[in-house]
Amino acid sequence: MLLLPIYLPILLGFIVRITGYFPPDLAPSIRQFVLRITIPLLVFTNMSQLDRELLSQVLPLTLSLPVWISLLWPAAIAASLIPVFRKRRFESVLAMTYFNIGYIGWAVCDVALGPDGLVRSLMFSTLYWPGIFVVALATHLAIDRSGEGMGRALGAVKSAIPVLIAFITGLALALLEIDIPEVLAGPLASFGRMTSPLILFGVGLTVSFRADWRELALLLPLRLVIGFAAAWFTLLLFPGLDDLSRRVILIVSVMPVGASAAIIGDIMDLDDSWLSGAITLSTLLALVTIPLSLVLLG
Amino acid sequence: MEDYIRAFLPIYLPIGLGLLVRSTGYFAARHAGTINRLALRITIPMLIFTSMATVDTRLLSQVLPVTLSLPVYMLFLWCLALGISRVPFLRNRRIESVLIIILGNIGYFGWPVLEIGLGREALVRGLMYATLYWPLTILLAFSTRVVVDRSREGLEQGLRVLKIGIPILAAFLAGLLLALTGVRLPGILMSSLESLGGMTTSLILFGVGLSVTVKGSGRELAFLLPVRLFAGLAAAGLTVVLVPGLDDLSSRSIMIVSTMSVGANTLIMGEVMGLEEEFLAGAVALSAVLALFTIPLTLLVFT
Repeated sequence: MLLLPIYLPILLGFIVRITGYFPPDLAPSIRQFVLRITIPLLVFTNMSQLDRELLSQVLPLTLSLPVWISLLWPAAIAASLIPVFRKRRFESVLAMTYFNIGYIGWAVCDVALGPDGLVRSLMFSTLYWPGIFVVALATHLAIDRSGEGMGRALGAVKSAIPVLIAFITGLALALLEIDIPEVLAGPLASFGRMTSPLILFGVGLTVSFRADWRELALLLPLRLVIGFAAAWFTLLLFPGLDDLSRRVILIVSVMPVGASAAIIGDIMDLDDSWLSGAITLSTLLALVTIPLSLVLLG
Repeated sequence: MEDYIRAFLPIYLPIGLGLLVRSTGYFAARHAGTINRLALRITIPMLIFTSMATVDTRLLSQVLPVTLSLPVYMLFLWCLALGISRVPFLRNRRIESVLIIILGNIGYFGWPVLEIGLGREALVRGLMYATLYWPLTILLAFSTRVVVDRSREGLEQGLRVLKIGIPILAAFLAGLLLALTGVRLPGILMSSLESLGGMTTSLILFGVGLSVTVKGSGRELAFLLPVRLFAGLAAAGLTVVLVPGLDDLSSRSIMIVSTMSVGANTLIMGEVMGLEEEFLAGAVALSAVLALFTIPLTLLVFT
């Protein structure tokens, strides 16, 4: 039941698509709406409402995400050289680097570790959205240095500008202790809250089970191993993290592929249906891997 | 004043945001159709289902007269609107004019106004009053198409509206059935469905801002917007006289919500029926601006 908020929008998107009730060609418009409107507002409202005392306490936790991603990314780039992934190197790197640390991760930490665990996972994901754009840009620079490839990379950077502005503005308000009146924050947050359900609905709308099973059969377990190993190294680099924070990082490192992969795939003109297949299959796989990780770490 | 801002900013902010992102070229107006369709086909059925499934059935039986007042009110108003739409300069946009007159924002405008003006009890009346709003919207939109445009094409479009209305009606009936049988869905399932339904208003209002324009329709709107207020008041007056069992608070609530601005669902119906969306969006936005003046006046009279 814990994962129902994740599976339900995906399932709904899938049902309305196969029944012809909602055409899948509207999915790019929904993604544009998410990317340009709801994500910046989500980032802005989350950052501006940060508990400033908590911010200073959990700075190591916040910074451990970029470190984790920095360790994860080279491993993913190297793994993408495996012949079976060569056709879709870029997509493979994204599927290995983007974890659903937000929506699924928060829920899992809340259930397994209680409200304190949830707060830690919220802090851990602070830099997630800026981070995924940096990863997308870096991946393009590493894999495809052609003129067209650079153009797409710049496209990703351009798309990230509103998210980064929202992030910096929100952070500045939090640090300057300027509170946005509730009357303004409420309507803005109502847009931010649409993000996950809309992304997941879009995933269901474009999901394809015609994905290359051979690739995914290797990639999905491999990304869990890489993610967990990178998380373990991250813990070594942050000795100040307490036991609860450590368990949060280890738990979220085995989450399924983040729906953000579909957004970046859309911006960078990647194989949408393959990415949607990876998101869906890894989310299904999570029915087994998440309970298992909770038994080991919870 | 603070209460007033608190009540209406959630309405004006998404419209303003839509207008801003469109006028700056940050988000293309062509996406408005997708947003409206998403609201109509996905989020509205979810909103209706979850609202109905969690309705207090004891309250439902208590305020049956209030609930049934809406069909009476809308039927009166619809007849008046059909007459008004015969005015020569509205003839090119008869269906649009009828929808603008009959579809008031009784929910998201009406509820906070009632709460501010008459208190918490009136808000509950307002919620009950709005129960049949969506089924009636679809039924009257269909009827308007049939009455105004009796051509084969018009009838086909009317049937299309009814077809679109099926999921909404199904959601309404399924939710009502759950409420009446006392069956409660698991909390986590309800909250997942609510997260989709909860998007409705912001999405629709953002879509309004994204499509708004008043170019070339100033004369029609300058006539329609004040006239719809008088027509609404007249229909509400007749309703409170004719429906038995309405107490003073219910009567005043019905009078107040009859002066609300044009509902954002007008735009949704316009999209389904292939009407002039820019004209409808202009009406929604202008009447929302006009409401800044008319609502305080209404409160002064009825509270």
